[in-house]
Amino acid sequence: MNIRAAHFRKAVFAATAALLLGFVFPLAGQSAKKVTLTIECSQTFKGSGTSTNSFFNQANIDAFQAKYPNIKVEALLIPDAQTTQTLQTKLATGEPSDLIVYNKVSAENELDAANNMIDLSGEPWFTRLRQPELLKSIDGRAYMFYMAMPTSGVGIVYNKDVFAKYGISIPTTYNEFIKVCETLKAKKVTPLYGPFKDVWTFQIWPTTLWGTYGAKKDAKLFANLNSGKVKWSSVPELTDLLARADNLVKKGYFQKSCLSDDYNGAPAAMSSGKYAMFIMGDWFVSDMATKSPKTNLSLFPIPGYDDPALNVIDQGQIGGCFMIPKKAKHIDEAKLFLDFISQPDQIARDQAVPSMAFLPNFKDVPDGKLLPVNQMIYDNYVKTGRTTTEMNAYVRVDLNDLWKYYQDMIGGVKTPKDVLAAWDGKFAELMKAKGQPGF
Amino acid sequence: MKKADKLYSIAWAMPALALYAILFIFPLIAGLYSSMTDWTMGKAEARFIGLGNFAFILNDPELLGSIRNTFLYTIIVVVFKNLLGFFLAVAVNIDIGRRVKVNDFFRTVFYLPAVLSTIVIGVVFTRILHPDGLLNNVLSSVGLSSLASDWLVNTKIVMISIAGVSVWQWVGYHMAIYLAGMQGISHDYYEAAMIDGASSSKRLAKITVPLLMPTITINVILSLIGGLKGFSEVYALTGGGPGHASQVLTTEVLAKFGEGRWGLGTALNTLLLALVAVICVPLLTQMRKQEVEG
Repeated sequence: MNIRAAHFRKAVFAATAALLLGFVFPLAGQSAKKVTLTIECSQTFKGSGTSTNSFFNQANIDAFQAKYPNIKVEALLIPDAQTTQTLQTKLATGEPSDLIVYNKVSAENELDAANNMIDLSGEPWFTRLRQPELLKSIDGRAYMFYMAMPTSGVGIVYNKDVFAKYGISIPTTYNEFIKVCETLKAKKVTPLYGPFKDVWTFQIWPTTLWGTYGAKKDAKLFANLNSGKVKWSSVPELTDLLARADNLVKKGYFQKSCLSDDYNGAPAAMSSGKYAMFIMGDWFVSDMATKSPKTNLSLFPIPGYDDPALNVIDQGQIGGCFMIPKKAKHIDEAKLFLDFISQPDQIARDQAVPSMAFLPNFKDVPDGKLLPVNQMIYDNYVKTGRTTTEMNAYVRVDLNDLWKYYQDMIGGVKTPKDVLAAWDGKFAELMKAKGQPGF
Repeated sequence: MKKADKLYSIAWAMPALALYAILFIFPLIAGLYSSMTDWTMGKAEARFIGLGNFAFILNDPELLGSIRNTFLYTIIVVVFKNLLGFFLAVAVNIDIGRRVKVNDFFRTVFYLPAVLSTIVIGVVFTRILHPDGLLNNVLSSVGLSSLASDWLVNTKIVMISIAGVSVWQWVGYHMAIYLAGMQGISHDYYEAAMIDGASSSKRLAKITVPLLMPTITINVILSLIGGLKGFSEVYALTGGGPGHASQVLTTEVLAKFGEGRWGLGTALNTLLLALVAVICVPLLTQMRKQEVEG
């Protein structure tokens, strides 16, 4: 054998092996560290609606990926109508995304946050919150991340120009509200636009007023309802407040086709001048500011009570919170992401986007500029304590059937008493199915 | 066949059978089991409860209402899709010894709705059937304003309205199947009948219909299954509303899954499967007996 040739072959082999190892080890090291962090949410939360506050600012995500090059952030979008079922299925099969974006109370009820999500109250950003109570659940733990203070609200959206034209002042009691409706009707203006084909619209009235009743008049109401000690139909005030809404329908203050019309028709209706008011939320006012700037809208509390002090702005549950499922594959990376977007410089980037104006819930972040309607709600109602949380936030079951009973009432098939009697049966059935004590 | 040949054939069929078992048989068995549990979101485990879910369905007024609506919808769509489809096929099958272009035009026009998305049709018809929509405006303009109605809100007629939209969408599809069947009937029968002096209605009743039985069977069974499983039209037009007025079995399945009551939702699906089997299998058997060799 030629020794030189043998040595040469050995050298070539060694060099090739060294070259290969030089590639393989770093690659192996890299592929072991590369992580794809999945964030799953509905298309609405990902969208750039004026008050979704979902904080899906691509600039934040780009900055996060630049700081942590081994982590790639991927958003998985679900059509709105399928969000709940998709998330429930993934949680049930043990294959959730690393981060889920969902409404707070809905997550507590529909996604069983207490059992499925990790407690975030020990995270570094939690100690920086102005109002940590906003994110806590009934058990005292915090399963959500949300960076804004609630400056949204529902009430009566009204056309300021129509009110000014007929010299109408904002009503502060139910009787004043009826008088306003009668004045408008006499002027051939339909007082209220009703998109009640969409079940979620009419319920704004009872969820506001019942929420106020629970907060201001009977602090144990929802605890008693949820434990089966009290039936919905046995609380006369609940029937009365619902009857006041039914009265508006019976008196013809809504358009005749209210059960055929939906939310999609609202912008055209409210910009036409043919309708004066709309039971809706601040997001509609903000949307219309973009879609129809000439339509001058604002918001006042639903005047369902005779006592003006009880007619307050109802605030919904916090929408678009981030949660980390217990069975997520990349919990540490998910926590890192939440901590990152909570930092002042990242929040400042979100605040700079006009359509995402919000009040940060972090002590070390300045207030920022809100949209006019949200600033009005914050100044006139949040700061003065004239807000309440919607009734829906306290109920532990899906309310869709109750909302469908409202449609029966509007259509004349059920009375307000019938609605609550039917809901008693359905509520008990749903609570029993969930294994809630007392049912 | 030799044993080796038999085993050889079975071996080739095994992959397909395995796939069928994995994708159909096992999920079916799992679904049947789930329908007999109280499987609910939030509960630690699903307990076996036997026929509890089915007893609940048969005692719940709202679910019984959805079963009634399902049957009402099915009866309307089966009758009208087949009657109208048949007569449309007769109309576009007129034979005058040469190809008639207007026939081709109408065949296309009648068939077109079947290729449209049901959701798109739902959105369009929601406007047409609105109280201030096209249908009521047309009725008013021809002096029939007394017939104008809240087509998708009036609880007495909402299911009929939805069925009407479904008939409009699919009648062309059934017409095409009837047409294919008619064109497979030999002209000799008609010529012989004409020589014997049979009228057109006699030829239709005594020649066309008996020889068309296989096609009628297909169309009736397809429309029956489609009616019992109907979902898209209801969901697109009314979502099951107002209230529960237009809920059908399939929309109730969706509602129950949305509430997290998966055991009950699966039981509703199992009930639907049983209804389809119990109704369609005997009907198919009976209708096959009526078929005549051409």
